[in-house]
Amino acid sequence: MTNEDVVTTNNCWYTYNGQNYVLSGIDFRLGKGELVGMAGENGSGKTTLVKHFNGILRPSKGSVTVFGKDTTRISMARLSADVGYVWQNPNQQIFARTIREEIEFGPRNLHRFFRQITSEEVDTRVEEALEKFGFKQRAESSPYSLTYGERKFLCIASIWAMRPRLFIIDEPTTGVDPSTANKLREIIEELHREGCTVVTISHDIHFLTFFHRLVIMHDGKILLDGPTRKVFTNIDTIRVAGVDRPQVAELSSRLGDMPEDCLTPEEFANAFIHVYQTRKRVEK
Amino acid sequence: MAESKAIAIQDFSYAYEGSRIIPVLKNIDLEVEHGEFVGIVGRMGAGKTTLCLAMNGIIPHYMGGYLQGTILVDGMDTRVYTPSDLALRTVGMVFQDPEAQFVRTTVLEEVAFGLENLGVPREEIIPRVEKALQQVGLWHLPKIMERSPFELSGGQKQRLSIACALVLKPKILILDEPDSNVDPVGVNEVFSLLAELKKNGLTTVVASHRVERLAMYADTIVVLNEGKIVMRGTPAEVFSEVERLMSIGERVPEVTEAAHLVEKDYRIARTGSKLPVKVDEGLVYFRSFLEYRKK
Amino acid sequence: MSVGVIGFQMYTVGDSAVHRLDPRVKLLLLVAFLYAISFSVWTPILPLFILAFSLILAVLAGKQTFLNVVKGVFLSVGFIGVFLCVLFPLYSPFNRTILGTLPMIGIPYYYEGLYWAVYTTYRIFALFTYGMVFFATTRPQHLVKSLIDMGLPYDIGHMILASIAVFPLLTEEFDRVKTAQQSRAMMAKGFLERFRQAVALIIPVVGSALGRGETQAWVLEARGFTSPGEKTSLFQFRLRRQDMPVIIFTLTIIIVNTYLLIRYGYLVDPLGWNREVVAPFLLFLNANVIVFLLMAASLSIRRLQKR
Repeated sequence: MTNEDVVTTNNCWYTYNGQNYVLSGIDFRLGKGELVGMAGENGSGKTTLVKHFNGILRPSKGSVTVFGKDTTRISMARLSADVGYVWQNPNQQIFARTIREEIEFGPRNLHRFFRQITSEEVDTRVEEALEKFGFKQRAESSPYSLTYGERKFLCIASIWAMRPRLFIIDEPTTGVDPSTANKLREIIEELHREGCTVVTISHDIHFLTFFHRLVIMHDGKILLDGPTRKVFTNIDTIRVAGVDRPQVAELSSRLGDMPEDCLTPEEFANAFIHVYQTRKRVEK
Repeated sequence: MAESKAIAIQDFSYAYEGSRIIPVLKNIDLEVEHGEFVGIVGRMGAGKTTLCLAMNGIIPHYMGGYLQGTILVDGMDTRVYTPSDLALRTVGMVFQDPEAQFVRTTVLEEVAFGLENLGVPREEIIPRVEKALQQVGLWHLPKIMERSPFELSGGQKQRLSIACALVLKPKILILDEPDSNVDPVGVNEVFSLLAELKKNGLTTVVASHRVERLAMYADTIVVLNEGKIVMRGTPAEVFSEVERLMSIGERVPEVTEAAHLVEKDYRIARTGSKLPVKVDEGLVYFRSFLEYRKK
Repeated sequence: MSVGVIGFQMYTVGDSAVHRLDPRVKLLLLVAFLYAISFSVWTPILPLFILAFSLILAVLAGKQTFLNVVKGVFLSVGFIGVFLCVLFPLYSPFNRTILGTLPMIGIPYYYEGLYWAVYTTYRIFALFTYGMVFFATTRPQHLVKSLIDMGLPYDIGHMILASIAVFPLLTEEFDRVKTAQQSRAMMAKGFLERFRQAVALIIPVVGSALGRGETQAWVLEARGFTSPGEKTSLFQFRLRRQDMPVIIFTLTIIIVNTYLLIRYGYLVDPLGWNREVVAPFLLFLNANVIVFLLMAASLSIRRLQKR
């Protein structure tokens, strides 16, 4: 474990009921500044594993270390200063009367319980979050006036205001339409650019293709873990794991002559044009 | 003439109770033939759910509001016939969140619920439940009738909701985003089931964002934007308008987008021919592209 | 949630004769027992009889049910039993006649207090034992449906059934919300703080319940809930021959108790036994309660330690 590691799990096993193990001996390392997607069907263990990163779950066997601290020795509330978790359903986090109060909740708790930041710092962070996520005009409106997609943004803003070094986002694009999904992707990329380590759980193939590293889990084990592009070349394994492949990846592998690792339509188009031009030149 | 269509919507506009001046649907004209599979595409707030609710009578009978125009479902006017009238043998509806649809503690009671409500004779109930569970591929699961709906997987839950609608033997099945909260395995299950049902003659209307799947299974795609139908046609016709769809925040199948980008790069002006919307079509398209240019 | 807290989570799966009794018959018996125990003459005999009867039913219902019943009684009213049986013989407003003194401590214990403690404890235990047997052998869904059969309005019945179905979801949701807010550094320190943070817990749960409510209303419409015609019932509850003995027994209890009440009066000792005869018997019963509770307590502690 180096100083640059954010999360390390060592032979991590987890069971909810003492009998079936949802996680089987997971060894996993997350480095600083990484942008990681976690995929796998429901029940594969991906959410269970990620819940160990902020202390919601503690391993039944083995150990999990986050920012150098053993998660069994530290409370979840204290870890939340470093690790932010954005839940899949924003309605499970939103409760305040105004958007401002909602964003304020996390930092205010940090100030009140852990004396980590001053009261002025809390106010500053809230203002910055309102600005950054575009809620400035509506700061005093009710969160319930927001659409589902906007509420997802609000949750991300609320967690961002706590300035976590590790950002965990659970299924950001589920239940939202494509244009909102795009905006969410952009904000997540921005968070990453600012220096956060980001882990996302997702089923959404179009979304996952933008991540640098992809981890695919199945039946409590990690099947694939590496650069996204490379992971998608393992066609059979992906199928076993119940994960989708991008349509253009299938198209390019069946077309032949194409690099197998096209993940987006743009990549495909560029690769195809290149092949086409090469052929034209050859013919001349 | 309208009576012979499965669904005939004529100049239909609707505003919710309490917001009269903001119509959610504007001048909708749509005809769906019996046995047709229609995919409805549109952003959140475009009116997809409202349109679905209007097709089975919940609008206007339960929701109130202000409407203009008519909707005939299998010849029945939704202003006259209530959701209960339409539920028996005409329209079945499946909503987005399967868990919100469950009201009983066992699968048997859950599927039987509609039959009980509509006064179907007791002897018929269990055989019909069995048939519905067979149709959706859940019948083979061990002790399925006794299990709680909540302990099933996401895809299974969604298929169970479909069974709850199918048990009433509808001619038309309407599904409002049945694939939102389900993992890819579950999405496959749901769409394979819908394809199977279509083969047996069911008229299907699905609101969804999964354009790749809709392209594979749908006969017609309808695009809603801000309460209006802005595009309608076969998947090839609709999805070929890539720029137009993207400008209103919609996606097109990846194959289509890839083809569009290639054509854009070569400034090809297409006259009448359509872009591929499925992988097989894509293979044909790109191979012939290479062939054609050889000449 | 722990046993004994919510009635409908106490159902133990089984197929005994007790399980198969008509739920309304069992409910009627519960009402009869409630009557006989609340309005009774002052003697532990009737409560003892009811307790014995209920324990026999529990045994008939199967080993798992029996254990659950005993556990349930202990957890819900155990400490009351201890409180009464230990305290009242020593200090109670009725105390007049000294029976003896406690061996090492030297405090006197009284006849009236002892009699009252035994009488009341056994009343409570009898009622709760039967109550546990009732909940453990009756599916709440079947009870509601049998009541609908008898004339309970369909929508009220449906409301209860749907709540039973959805309740576990709500508790799950509550746990999820709690975890979600804890991951925003919410800590519960002290009573006032917990109270303030209850808002952060309750509102999301209520909000999601309301959201689910609208979809559920649509589903009800789409499944013909508001259809005006007559509804079919999938299960039919008809009284059977096996139910008759229980019904007769119930009526007997009601009649006997009413007779005793009229003849002797509420809280009047009808037998007026000789104190010397009754006292040892009462001491025996009292000791039983304390021993039972001590045994149950030690078993629980041992089980907790094993985990």
